[in-house]
Amino acid sequence: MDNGQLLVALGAVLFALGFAGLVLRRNVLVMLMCMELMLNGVTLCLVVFAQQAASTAATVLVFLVFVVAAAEIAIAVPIVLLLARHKHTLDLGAYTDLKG
Amino acid sequence: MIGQALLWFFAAGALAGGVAMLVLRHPMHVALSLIGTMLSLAGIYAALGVHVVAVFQVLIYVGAVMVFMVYAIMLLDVRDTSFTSRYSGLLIPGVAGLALFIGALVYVLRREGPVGDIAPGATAFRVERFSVDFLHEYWLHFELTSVLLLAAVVAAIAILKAKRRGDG
Amino acid sequence: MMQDLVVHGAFIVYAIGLLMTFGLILTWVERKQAAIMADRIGANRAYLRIPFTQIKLVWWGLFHGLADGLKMLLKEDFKAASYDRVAYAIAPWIVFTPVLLVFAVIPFGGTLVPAELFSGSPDIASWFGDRTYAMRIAPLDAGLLVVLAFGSITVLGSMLAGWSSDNKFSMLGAIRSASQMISYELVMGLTVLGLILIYGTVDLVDIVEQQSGTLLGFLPAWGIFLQPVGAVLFIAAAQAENRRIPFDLPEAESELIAGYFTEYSAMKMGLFMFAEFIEIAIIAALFTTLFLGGYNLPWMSDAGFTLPGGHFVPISHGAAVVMQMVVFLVKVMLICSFLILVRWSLPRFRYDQVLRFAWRFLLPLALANLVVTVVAVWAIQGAGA
Repeated sequence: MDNGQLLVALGAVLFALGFAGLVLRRNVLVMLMCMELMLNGVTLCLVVFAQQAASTAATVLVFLVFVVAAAEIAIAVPIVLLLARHKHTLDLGAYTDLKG
Repeated sequence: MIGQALLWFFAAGALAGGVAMLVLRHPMHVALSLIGTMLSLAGIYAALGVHVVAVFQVLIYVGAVMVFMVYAIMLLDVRDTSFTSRYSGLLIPGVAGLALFIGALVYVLRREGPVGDIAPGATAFRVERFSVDFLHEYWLHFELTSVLLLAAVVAAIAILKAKRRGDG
Repeated sequence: MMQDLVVHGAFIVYAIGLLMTFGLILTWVERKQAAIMADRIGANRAYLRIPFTQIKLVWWGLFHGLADGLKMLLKEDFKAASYDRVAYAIAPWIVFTPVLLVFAVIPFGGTLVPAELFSGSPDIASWFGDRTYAMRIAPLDAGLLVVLAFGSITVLGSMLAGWSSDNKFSMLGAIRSASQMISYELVMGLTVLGLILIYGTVDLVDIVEQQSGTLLGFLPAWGIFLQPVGAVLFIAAAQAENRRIPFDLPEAESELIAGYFTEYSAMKMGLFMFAEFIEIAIIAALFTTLFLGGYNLPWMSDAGFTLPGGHFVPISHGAAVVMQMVVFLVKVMLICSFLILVRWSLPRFRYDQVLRFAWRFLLPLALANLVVTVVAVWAIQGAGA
């Protein structure tokens, strides 16, 4: 297994782990962090392909992905904190207002 | 040879951090393992020769995103129920699904043939080339991203104001 | 490859030795300089007695640093009843390590040509061949970005230290420290943007090399003459980033006991204090590199002195290397003294004053500095081109 395959496989496994964490864990902030893990896995694959193609466009795209991820976290965490303040818990089982 | 060993070391670190995120109980420990994963990924990027991306990973992800997450986790109450019961109801099907998912991904990867090799640290990517290409060809994307960031700042302030109004 | 290993190993030993020595000496300099400024004598009780005699060496209080170090090592490591083990254990290291790593991109000397250095013994010189080494540890051309990246990791350490201590005062200190450090990190990044624009690079080695000429014929071409406002803003923001008085609220001794490291004792506390003092030296080294011309002496190049009359004085390579390293150290010591002077002169800012100072005073000034720099560079380059 050469380096490129190893790293893309690692990126795929990180994505799968993040997805599993999103499905399995109950704490909303931990779910947010698992989403960040998914994004990191995908970015690793992107960097591997950028380095193979020696393309500047892909590196610019990686940089823009970082910036967009930062902006997304800046909005998601305050929303989660407001929700937690409203429901007095971060447990996912309590957010059932839209159920039924 | 040292570059190859470093690559394996950082890959193992990233994997360990990812698995630890699923298993650990306290959100602060999960955040610490995510920081470990991100730093290992930065090490992988540096070992591949794109130290520009590695520096941005540390600066933006670890230095801003994770600092924000740790700040939010610091304000949590330790008696929250989600600390004792970690997993949602779908634990067994979830783990089975994870195994299937990883198996499917690795199978597709094997079938697609070799991705192509990269020697660690073969081509060093310079900051100057990156920034010149960025601002000559992709300056529109740069400006659109700054508009996106401005929208994020306005949205954060709006959330803050909504919270104040809600508290009365 | 062996030659590269030997030279870089020597550089790493030099850098670590230098930073540790600076950390120790700065505790003594701080006490002595504070005493001189306050017209008193300072700490002079710790002595070493030469064995078998009654001669006591006081040496102006230098041994107080040794006494402090021994005290930190030998104290009881008292742990609270409940604390978060993982975060408590790694927090001092997260604060200590990036401070050392920032020095990896700072050039502490000119170019080293080992063959010329060992020109007396021909076999050592032939082993080195014609290799030249720039005197810095890591050949990263994103130098300033690396500095900012590692500076942002220390925030995590102080937050973890305060949170893991299971103590309300520590938590308050951690929250204050995080807010302050994040704000001033941003300001620090913006203050050097004008400098990056003028020099056209983020590589610290290039920035120092571009400061080696003269401006207008007689001024050394240092950054402080090109960006005076930027220099003042940078040193203010860096002092705040280091949590020194006047921006000392996270560890306010009279309010929060010891802030975010209240529950730490013995060597872990020693690591926090040591990291703070080494960071003074790092900030001084950064200021020297960006604004004071690094290792450059006026009218000196790698080969010799070119005096204003046109007279050229050649100097040997060994003398040039040593002179450049000494010049760097002298400049760093001067800026450290200035930082200690500021620390012992000003009272402490209140917490909301600290944040207002960053967001409503330093940030607009840094942006205004950038605008003026952009206009000036455009005008000068427009006139030249």
